[in-house]
Amino acid sequence: MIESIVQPVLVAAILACVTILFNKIRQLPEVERYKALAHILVPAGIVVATMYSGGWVAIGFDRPAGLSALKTEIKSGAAPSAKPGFIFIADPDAGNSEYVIEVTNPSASMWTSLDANAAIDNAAHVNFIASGLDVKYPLVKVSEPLAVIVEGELGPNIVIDNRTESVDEWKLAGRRRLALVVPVLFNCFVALGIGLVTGAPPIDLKQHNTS
Amino acid sequence: MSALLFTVLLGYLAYSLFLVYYWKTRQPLPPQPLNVEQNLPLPWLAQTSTVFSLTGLFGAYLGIALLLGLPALLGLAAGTVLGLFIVRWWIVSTLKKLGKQETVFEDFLAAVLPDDKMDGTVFAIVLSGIQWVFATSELLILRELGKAALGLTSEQATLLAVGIAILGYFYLLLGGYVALFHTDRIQLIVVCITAVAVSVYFLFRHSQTGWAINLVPRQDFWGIPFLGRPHGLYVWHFAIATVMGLGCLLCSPDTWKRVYQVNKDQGEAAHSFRRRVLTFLAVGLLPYVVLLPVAISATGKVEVKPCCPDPLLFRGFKLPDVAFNKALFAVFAIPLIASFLSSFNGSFLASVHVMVIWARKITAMSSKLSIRSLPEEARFYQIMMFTLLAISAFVFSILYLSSQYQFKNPWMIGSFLMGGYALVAGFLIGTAGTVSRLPRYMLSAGFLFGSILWARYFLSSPAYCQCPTLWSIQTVPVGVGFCLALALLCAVIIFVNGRRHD
Repeated sequence: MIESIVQPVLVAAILACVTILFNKIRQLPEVERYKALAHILVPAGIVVATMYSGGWVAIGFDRPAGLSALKTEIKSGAAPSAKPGFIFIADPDAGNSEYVIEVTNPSASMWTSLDANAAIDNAAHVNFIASGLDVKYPLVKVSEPLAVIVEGELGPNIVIDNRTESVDEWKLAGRRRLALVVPVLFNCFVALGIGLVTGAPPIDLKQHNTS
Repeated sequence: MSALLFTVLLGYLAYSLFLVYYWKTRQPLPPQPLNVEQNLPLPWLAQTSTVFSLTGLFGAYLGIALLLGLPALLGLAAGTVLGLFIVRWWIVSTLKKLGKQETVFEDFLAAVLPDDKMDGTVFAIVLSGIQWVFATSELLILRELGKAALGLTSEQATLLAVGIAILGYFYLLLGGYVALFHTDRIQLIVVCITAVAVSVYFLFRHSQTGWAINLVPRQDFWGIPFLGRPHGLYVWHFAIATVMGLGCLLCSPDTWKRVYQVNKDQGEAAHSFRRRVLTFLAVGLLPYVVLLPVAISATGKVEVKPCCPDPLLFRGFKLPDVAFNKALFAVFAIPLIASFLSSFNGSFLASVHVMVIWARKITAMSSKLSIRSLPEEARFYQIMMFTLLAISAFVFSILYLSSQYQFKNPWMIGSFLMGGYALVAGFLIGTAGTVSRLPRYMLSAGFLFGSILWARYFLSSPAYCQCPTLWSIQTVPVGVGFCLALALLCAVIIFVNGRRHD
């Protein structure tokens, strides 16, 4: 609910800031104007566009669920045998979305992290449908991440609110891999900061700025 | 988490130092921001670095080395060395023709662009456009390698590529050529250390396998038309690769600048001729010496598949997963980023410089066109941001289209670009470096029809595939043939034109 209010307010605030900034820049002398555009507005615009079109997901601010394919079963004293399945892990508050994870030949049962009461309350929210595992949010009285283990071949797609995406995009990634992305992003923002300082027009100290 | 914290702190420390250094030494931009020829360190290293960037390590040259072995790799090396000498001769003779006492690199660039408005504009746009597309292709390849080798998700890989591009942009905006030459130096050191380490590893790991077998080309690639596989096949491979290596350098304004700088720095020194020959030989051969062990050791493991029948079934190619090992992760990630940064910066600044010279030239000679004369500094900023916007637009459009049409092949852009290189190199070879010798509008018409022809061929070539395939190197002989045919046509037209005027 809050998300639906915050997002338009945030977009409106950013648009207002950009408009004010753009009007200020337009009034500058020619060289200063292009300098400000090249140092501030254009690179910042590209970074914002990248973040908006998936960058938040990259650093873990979004995408409330993940899955990982299971391939073998290991029994003590026996050789590992092939046993396809997958594990689905999701935040307890993943908005109002519905996730359908395609499964080929699913077994009749699943193994979840829900306790007995929560399992009964959420019987209509976590269940099998013809195409695979169906998880409907919001979950009832669940405050910890939901984990579901399903036996069966993981399909190629996951359907989120009737939007089909590749399962590969939702697979859990190693946490350490962020160690490469975050410094680059950090340095990128430092560079934007340098650009801001360099590209901003000089302040004329002789000008009387008070009314 | 500790690794993350460590890298963030290290990055912060590096940037704090950079900031202090930057503000202490900051000078105002020169009146012509790219007309810088002093304090450019080790330009010959920078040239090695540019050949050894993504083109060599992760692009066409590695593909050729993997499939065609030693003869083609030697051809590429020979073409690169030959290209360096030819570019040097071209620069010196062009500047001599100008008859000025003191010349700068910008004089050469201005002389290369034809005086005719239409032809000059088309040539400048094609030269810059090739660099834009090259930079775009690098971004997409980096993104793909980030996913395949480092195990990043799509969003992480996109953010990584765009973040590094923004960093490169700021390097160039604040430091111009000085920043470019410094990054090249650092990149080459990092990549060389890695390459030596990897070579030593391969040397021990593969000492028992037959190395000589891996130097022999695979079947079915680059056959001589109508003759199959005669004895002269390896000479044929060598010849094709030589023209390719030569052509790639001939149409790269980035290389022109570096060769000019080497020539200028060594021009007045004692034994300058001998030093220059040795420098160009070393610069041209070094990347291939480093590339060879990688190619030899990897070639046996590469399975050459034709274009995938169904891209939905293609799960992405997989390089050895290095993410589980901290040391290997660093060994692979750091040179990858360094390579990318260096070649991205080189192509970015080359395209900006060409456009700056074109804008200056067209403003000076045109009083009728409604082009306002901007101050040089404003024009530099304008073209820098336009270039960044163009590359970003290319990247986002291609990412959108590739998701819509299920294309998972970022190397396809590079293969397509071969047509652009072939066209420019063909015109330059056929006119001996002076494209303005062609009849008016011939250059523009040539680019138009040449692009259409290449596009038609490309759509039916093995490189037009929704998944990456090594078969895309089959476009190389066609590109080379295209280049040589165009060069011959230009030479004939100039000859006939000259006879008619006589």
